Amino acid sequence: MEKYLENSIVTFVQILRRAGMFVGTSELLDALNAAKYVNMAQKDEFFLALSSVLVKSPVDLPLFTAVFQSYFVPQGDRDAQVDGYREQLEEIEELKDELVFKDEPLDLSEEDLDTYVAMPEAERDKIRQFVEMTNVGYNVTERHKEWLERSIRGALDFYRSNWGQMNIMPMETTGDEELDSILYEVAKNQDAKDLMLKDMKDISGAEVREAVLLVRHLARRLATRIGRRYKRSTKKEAVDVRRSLRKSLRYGGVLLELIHKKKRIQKPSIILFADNSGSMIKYSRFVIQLMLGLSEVLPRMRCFAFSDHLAKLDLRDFNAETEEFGKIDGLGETTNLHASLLEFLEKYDKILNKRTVVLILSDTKTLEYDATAEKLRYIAAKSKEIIWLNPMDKEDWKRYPMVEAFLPHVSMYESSSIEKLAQALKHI
Amino acid sequence: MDTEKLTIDSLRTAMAEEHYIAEDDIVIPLYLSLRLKKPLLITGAAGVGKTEIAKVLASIFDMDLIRLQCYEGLDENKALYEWNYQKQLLNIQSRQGEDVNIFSEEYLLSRPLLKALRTEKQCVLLIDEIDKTDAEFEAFLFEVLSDFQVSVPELGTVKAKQIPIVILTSNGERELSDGLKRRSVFLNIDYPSIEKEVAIVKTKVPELGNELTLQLARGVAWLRRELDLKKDPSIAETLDWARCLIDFNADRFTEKLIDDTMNVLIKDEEDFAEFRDNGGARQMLRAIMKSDAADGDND
Repeated sequence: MEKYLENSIVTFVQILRRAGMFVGTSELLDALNAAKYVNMAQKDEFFLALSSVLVKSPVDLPLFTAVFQSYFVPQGDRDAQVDGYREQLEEIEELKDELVFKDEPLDLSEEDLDTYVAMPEAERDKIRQFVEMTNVGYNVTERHKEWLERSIRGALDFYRSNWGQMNIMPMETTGDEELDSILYEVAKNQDAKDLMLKDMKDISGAEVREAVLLVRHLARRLATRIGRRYKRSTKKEAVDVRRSLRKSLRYGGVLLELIHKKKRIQKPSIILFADNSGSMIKYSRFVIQLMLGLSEVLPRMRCFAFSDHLAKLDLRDFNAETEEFGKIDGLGETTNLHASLLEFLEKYDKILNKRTVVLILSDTKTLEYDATAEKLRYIAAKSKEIIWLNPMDKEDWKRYPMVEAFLPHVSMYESSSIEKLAQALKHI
Repeated sequence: MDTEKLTIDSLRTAMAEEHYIAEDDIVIPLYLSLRLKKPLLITGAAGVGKTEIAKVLASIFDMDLIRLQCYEGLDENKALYEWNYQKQLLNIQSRQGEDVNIFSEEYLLSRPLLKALRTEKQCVLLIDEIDKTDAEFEAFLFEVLSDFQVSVPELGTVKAKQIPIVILTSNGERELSDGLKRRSVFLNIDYPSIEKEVAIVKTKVPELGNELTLQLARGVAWLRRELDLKKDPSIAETLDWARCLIDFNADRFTEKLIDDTMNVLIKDEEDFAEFRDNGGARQMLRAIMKSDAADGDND
């Protein structure tokens, strides 16, 4: 029995890790020890025991709870999970089988097939209809198969270039059917997950207000942290009396050497460039809300929105909850960071100095990216650092040459959710 | 009470006897930290009862409570030990020519951490508001909390005679290091539910009466839930409000009473503005009475 419990807890921890939670070996040992002191038949008691040794932050609790509720279930429920997972796999295969020409599978790569399965049903339906029309068209021959394959590849590639590669399963699989079925169930239900972990572009409706409150709370915490920063100042140093007295002991109490207090560090000034084009508005609203919260402790903060050119923002007018946010007059739909940075440097070059931290919120999909990289190099040399907040999935970065061009000059962090944004901004 | 013979039920009972209302979400992590002999890291907003747990434990186990109040700039000297430089200096100067050992116990000022290690009887060591210190101080604490020993260059290694019960609290002003979290059992205390807050007020301020206590708890819950305050009212402030109502000889809630006593709950000008912008006392009273009406419908 004890061995069974140990194995269960070890497997549970493995699932937590796969689901994205960090659990070290020492915590696993604590969990094994903790289980000895509670009544495992009492599920609530067992849950509290494991959570108190495995969960180290309130942010992780929803995920932990989801995994616990999916894993510690009766055998009957476990079998149902595996069946549900198998059904999902079968559905995926059936979808892939839709892409045929005269009953012969189209010659598409695994990446293309995965994109087709992962895309929204409405998009998939367009392709499905196109395939059906081609199959039943007048005077259709074998030559049309190659043409159909090229068309489908093009459509899928276009979709990927706009939305990135999506995973057909909402989680990374392990190859173990039972574990994967649990991970699948947890990931499937993550649509209702904590707002902190949700992609900001998916936050809408009634969730916006709650998300804005979360961001304000986050801003206060960050403000406290930033408010304590110190660096050398030009002010005359004060004598540290206690340390000076201690040092004088070696000279029989004579104050031969004075020890000075450490100098106070000044707070950084922040410049934010928020991409206001297309779907980036859905990220900008929360980032700018956060900047508004930080402006209390960072008075030297300036915010700019950009798309094809630059617009300075007055934070006093800002309200992330209104749907009208982001519709700044004169800003277009395309992104040209180079033009925007040129405009910035013409008017505001003098505000850049070694205490300035430049924040850029953008998915890097901009025109003239080589010229942009050059401007970034210039700005990085004049400022303390450039922190790039990229809402794009980190695994997709390598597909975009702009990312490679920008990386030598910026520190880039994935920032699709409020939680990831918070982690990125800790680097200020 | 002996920590070795502790059970979850006995701990829960003992805490209730000390007038600390705790459900399993608090009792079980506390119990495990005692059985696993690991520090308990308690996080939560100010005033939810984190520090109180250490006091309650000291009372339950009849131990001394040694408190290290953390603040920005706290260093090893203030936390661990310091030499009495003035005494050393005076002795050097008054006994010139003599061989004086100025690094002996006579000149040692033991600060909380060293006191906790050297005490003969097991104690409760409370490291309060650890989030106010910096990462360097946290790293220094690792050695203390891992091995329960410290090195004093002039005296050698000081090992704990009895492993203290260690409670760390944090208001969440900054993220704590992974190293500290991994060495601890974790407990997050959120604001209580209305029912629990009623139970707490009844325990601490029983004179208020059942009806007013329930309305008071609803009012505070409305402030926390509906308003975006920089600082939500804590349990301590709820209790202050309850005592205030007794001083006012209040027998029921009115708009004027709420207005007159609101500065017990709200301590910031911006929060006052938020309160007024959201209907102020009138809206709060409506929320309290609406809940009462709902209860009436359910009867």
